[in-house]
Amino acid sequence: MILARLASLKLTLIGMLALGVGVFLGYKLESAPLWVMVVPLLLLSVNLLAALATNPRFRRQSGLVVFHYCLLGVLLLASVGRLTTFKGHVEITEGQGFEADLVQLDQEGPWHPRSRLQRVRFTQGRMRIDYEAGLQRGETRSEVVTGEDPLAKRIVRFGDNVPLEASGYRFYTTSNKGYAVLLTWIGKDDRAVTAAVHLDSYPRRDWNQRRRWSADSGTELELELHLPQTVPMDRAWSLDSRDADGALAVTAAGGETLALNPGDTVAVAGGRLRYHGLRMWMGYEIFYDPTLPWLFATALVGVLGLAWHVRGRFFSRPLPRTLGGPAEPERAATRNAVGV
Amino acid sequence: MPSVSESLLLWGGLAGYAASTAAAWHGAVRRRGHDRFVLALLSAGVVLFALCIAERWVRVGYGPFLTMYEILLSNLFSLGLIYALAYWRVAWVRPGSIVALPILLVLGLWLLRVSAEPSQLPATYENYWLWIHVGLGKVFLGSCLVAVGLAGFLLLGRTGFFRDWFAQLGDHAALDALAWRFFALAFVFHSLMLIAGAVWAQDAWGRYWDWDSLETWAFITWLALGISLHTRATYRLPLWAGWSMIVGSFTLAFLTFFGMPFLSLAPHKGIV
Repeated sequence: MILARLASLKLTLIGMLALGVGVFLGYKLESAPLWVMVVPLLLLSVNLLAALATNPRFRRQSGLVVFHYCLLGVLLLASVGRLTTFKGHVEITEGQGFEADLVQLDQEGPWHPRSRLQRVRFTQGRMRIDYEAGLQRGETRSEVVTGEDPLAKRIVRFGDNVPLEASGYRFYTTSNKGYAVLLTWIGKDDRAVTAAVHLDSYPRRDWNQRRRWSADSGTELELELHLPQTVPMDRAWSLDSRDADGALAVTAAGGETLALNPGDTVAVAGGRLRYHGLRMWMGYEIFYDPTLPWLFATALVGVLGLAWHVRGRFFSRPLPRTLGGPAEPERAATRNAVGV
Repeated sequence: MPSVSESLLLWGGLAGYAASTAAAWHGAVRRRGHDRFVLALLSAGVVLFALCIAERWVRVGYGPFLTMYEILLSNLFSLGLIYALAYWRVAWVRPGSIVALPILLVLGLWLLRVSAEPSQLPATYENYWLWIHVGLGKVFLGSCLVAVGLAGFLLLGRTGFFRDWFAQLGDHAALDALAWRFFALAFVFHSLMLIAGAVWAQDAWGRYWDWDSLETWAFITWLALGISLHTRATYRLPLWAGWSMIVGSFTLAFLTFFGMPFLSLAPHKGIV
């Protein structure tokens, strides 16, 4: 009795209307609670399961049943996806290997196996971004070298529309990229520390290619990059990591400004600074959701089931001749179409 | 600015659609069918719009996917093509042309009021899933247009317009059944469009669904279609109520397709 009530088509309509309202509220109000969508979805799920259990007429319509089972499957998989998902971002310099510890976390489901990210291994290679006149971004291409065994190494090229896939994670290139100055700081104790200091996003913030950097001994240095060219606005051009070149101006607190070209070493307060040269870094968004292929397959099978049902329900029957009257073959009906 | 040849083709296409609309209405008022005439004019319009799109495509270097002008232009072509095919192959569809063809004219007049300035195709649009997504969307809206033509025609009949002509057409059960067939077909293609769009979004932006404006309204439209089909299966509705649901769902789809770009200027522009 209860199951029969839960299986009511009227309840389905109420659930669908409530879901529509929930989606609208979620769209209009940023503070809308999650339950405005979750409750209608749960109601619809219960309603559907009850209908499948109690309604033999519904069960006989195989295409429709497949569609509804798949709707449940999509809902279930999307929920599992939320629990296992991982979203993060990271900046990687050309020549640098991926390090999971540098990843900034954006979102992580409670079932995401954190150690899995440690399995990802690749080294950043060349990157190239095309621009049209007026700084309109075109294609972004990035290369990485995967595999630790020298014999198994291979270059993977990816970019817009094609993410890098590694250990189930997807790495997407972003519009965030820029220059990094490769420096070695040698302290008075002769201890050397090499670092790639990332400057602001380029060319978006080309006017701000400077930053303060704290050397290993605590010495504060002001770094400013001087590029040989400005961003061309009137023509198409490419930003290519192979062309990265520029001089570095270094200012220690209270000291004079020193100009360094790649390969130069200068003595500054508390140690020596060697400027190896200019590299580029690429900002990646990282996405992990193991349900994606299953979600796609389930949704597709569901719609195929729906198409099968629609074909049988709507298209394999002749058009009726009169309201509530007997049907006649579509061909005859078409021939008799009045006025047409 | 459009080129001279693009403008000529555009005006030619609009003239074809306007003439076919006039012919359809003339046939309705005079109670005479001008089917071949309507179909020929509509087909001529479709061909001219196809040439117009091709000319622009070659000139600007990308397909009609981006600006409001391009979206309207491509839909004038695709909706005209789908409607012409349905009009040609299914005679029962033809009475609905007095409602469906003016909708195309509205799009055409709207097109004349928006800027034809080309934009630059973002790299995220260079994806074959975009083609699949857009193609399925056009079949969805085309099927919906056929359904709304019939439903609108039947509603007009109920309100007393062309009373004599409606009486001459006899019972309208076949038109009602056909409207729901095309509406159900639209639901299938809308579902496929959402799937293809999700695959494209995953490749392009690293997420398959993010509830942006267009995604949200596309889902609400899908829900509206589902609710309409469910309501028809659940209740013995008055016929006019069913036809009104078809018209309402089409209106929602129309606003989603052509209204949302007003908010974001281009589909999904916020996350290009």
